[in-house]
Amino acid sequence: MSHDAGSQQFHDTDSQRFHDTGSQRFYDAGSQQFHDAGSQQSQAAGWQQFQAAGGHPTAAHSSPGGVGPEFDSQASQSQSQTGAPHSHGAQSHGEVPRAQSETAGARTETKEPQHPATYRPGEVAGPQSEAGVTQEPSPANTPAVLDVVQREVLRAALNRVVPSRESLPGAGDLGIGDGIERSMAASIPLRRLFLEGLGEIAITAHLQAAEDFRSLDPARQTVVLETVEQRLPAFFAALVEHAYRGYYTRVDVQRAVGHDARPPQPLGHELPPFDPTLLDRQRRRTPFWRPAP
Amino acid sequence: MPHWPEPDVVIVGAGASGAAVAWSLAEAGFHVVCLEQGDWVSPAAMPHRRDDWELNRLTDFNADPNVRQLAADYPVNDAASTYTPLMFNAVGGSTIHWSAHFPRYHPSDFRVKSLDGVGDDWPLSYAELEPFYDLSDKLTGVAGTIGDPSQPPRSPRGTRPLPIGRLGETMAAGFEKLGWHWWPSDGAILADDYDGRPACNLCGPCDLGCPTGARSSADVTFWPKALALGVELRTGCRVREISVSADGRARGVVYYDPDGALREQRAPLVVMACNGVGTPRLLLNSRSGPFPDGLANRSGLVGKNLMFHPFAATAGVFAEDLDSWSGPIGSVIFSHEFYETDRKRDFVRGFGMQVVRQSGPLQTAMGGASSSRIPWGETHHRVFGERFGHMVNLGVMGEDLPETINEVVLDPELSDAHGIPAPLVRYRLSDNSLRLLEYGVGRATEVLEAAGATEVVVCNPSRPAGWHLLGTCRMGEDPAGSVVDRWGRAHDVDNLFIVDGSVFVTSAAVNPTTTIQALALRTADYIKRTGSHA
Repeated sequence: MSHDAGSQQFHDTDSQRFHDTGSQRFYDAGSQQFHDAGSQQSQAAGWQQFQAAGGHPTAAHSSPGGVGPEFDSQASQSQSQTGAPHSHGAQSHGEVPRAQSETAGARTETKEPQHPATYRPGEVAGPQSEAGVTQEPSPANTPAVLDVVQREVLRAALNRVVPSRESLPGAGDLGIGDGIERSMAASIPLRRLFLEGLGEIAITAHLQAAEDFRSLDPARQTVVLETVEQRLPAFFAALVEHAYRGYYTRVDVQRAVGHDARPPQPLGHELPPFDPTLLDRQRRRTPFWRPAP
Repeated sequence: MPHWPEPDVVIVGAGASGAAVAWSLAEAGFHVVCLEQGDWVSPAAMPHRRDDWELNRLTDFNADPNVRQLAADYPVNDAASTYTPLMFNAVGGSTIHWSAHFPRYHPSDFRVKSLDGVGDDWPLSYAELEPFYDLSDKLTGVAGTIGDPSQPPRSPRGTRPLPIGRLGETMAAGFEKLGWHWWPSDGAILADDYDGRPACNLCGPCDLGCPTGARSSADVTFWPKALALGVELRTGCRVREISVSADGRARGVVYYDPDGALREQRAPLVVMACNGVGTPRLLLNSRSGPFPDGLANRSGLVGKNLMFHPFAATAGVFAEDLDSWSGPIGSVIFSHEFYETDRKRDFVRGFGMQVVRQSGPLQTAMGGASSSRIPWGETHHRVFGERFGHMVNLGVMGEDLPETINEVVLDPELSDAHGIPAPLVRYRLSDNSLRLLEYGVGRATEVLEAAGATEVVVCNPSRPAGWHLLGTCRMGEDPAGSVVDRWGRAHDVDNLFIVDGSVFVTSAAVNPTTTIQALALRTADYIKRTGSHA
């Protein structure tokens, strides 16, 4: 896929996501492969098929009948046909877009991308623009962005952001930091934000208590974090958001908070049908819309 | 520059309006080509079967293209806008991430100048549009029930109303207690099987797509029918500009194909269906000798009069568990008690209130529509427990009125992947809108408390609420005061039609897709009757 690279402009110089339409790759932990962004692959493949078919829509544009995409009853079948790993909880969001060498320097182990021959619908769940957080952090897939101390500071901070509850430990002890580190590996701005923020936590702890943040008691850790929240609000908002992202997408957490801990589909939900007698009084009301010529 | 054999019509954009026009013209035997910069969104690519489905709302299914940043998207400079413009670029357009409210305008919405001395009257009436509302409803598939006293009688709905659940019944009781109007929302979501599509199984997050096809987005309503009639839909094709012939008429469109090659698709008729930001963007980028300030812009009004809807998010916290994450997120019940102008208030025109569900645990923690993130730290679990499943969102959505200072222009620096200038959006709320929202938040608080809320959370204005992109190529009889005529034909270019929300004269206080589709079908009907392509 080529276009006029010379004309590309965008306000965020760290991001090529609007531009580099051919270079996005996403790591699928289930298949242990990198994939190109699904939409681009399908566009290119679809276009070729479109031309080959003499300008008539083909399966890449629509269902085999040529009248639209396949819907969920067929979707699960097509997944199993392609062998795509879409069982609940198995899909990883540990995508590592673009050049790994850009993101983690010499400490990152570079994995050679393997491109599928063609895009297979259902293989990737859409091109995530930022790495999410997995249910089951996989250290083997986590590029090292933080050193040991930074990682422990993050873990301790996350335990204060979302503390332990009943049978569940705090967010840090649940491993939410692993997902954040993956996101940092995928995003230069996020890495910059977190590295500055973690440094600020350590410095503030020494200034306030002359101690390492990790060794402070929870109450004093909270005071430190409240100070950092005032000084670096953007970092702290990102810390909280990423903590919540990781924490509340875990099945064990969802179960603990009273959610039914399953995805929306395929079961959906059951609700009683609408009771039309609820409208009896409204129906007796004189129409009050305003006539107009 | 290579170009393809000429069809009768080329349509730019495959969202709700482009799909409706494509179907209607193809049904009459027109050879239609439609160019869409996005692609089909495969149901299998939607996140509904994954445990971490809520992450996609924050990333690749986010409604904000600046957050999503998919290859099909273009950046929008919204730094000077109160509301973030939201859209989706795909076959089906923004109906892909649509919560599918499907209300009609009221008759008074077409006559705001005559009735209230503000804005402008539309060059058509409710009665004139009604047959196309009926046609659009039939083709779309709408759940609901007739008999609503706040609106004129209308055709029977396609299916029963959707279930409203404990959340809806609790709020209905609140409205009843105050003696205020409420009614189940007309929703473009099937409560029963309809037209070969299944009934909704109430999974919830319509905003992340609909993997069952029960929600009536344009990719499952008009597009299958249009494709069966032979419409050529080319995805991954990004239009740069409308080309113009020596006589000042539209010659076709210039676009980048999926391989990045520049092509021209000529056609005797060009139809723009790119939404209220995308259409003015392309017209302003189509500068030529006869149109140095952009195509069809001799009035200087292309991009002007941008309207969203003034919107405030309120939410009530209830002691009882309302199971508020079960069921379609958007379409529950609404109230038009305060819809029409009341001179006793300090604002003109009015607003609606829409009851909206919570979503899953992550959205609850993040604060959802009311942007009230649950506090971190020692109180976190207690507050989460009080809110999850116990919260009702009540949106206050008012009528926007046209003002030329609210606009879409071309950004002097920012551009998309193909070097096409990005839109720069300037928008601020008027004093009338601010007063309307303040009053509306008061009434929302009142009804939430009447329903039993123990706490009310308010976010006014709610920035990520720029769903509705309207008014930037307004319709009117006077070429000096409007961009298109009453049929959507550009005053300055007789073979150029616009069918998206750009043509709206005023915004009303309801979600616009119903009216966008009805207007598009009306324009298509006009093209067929008059042979405008010949």
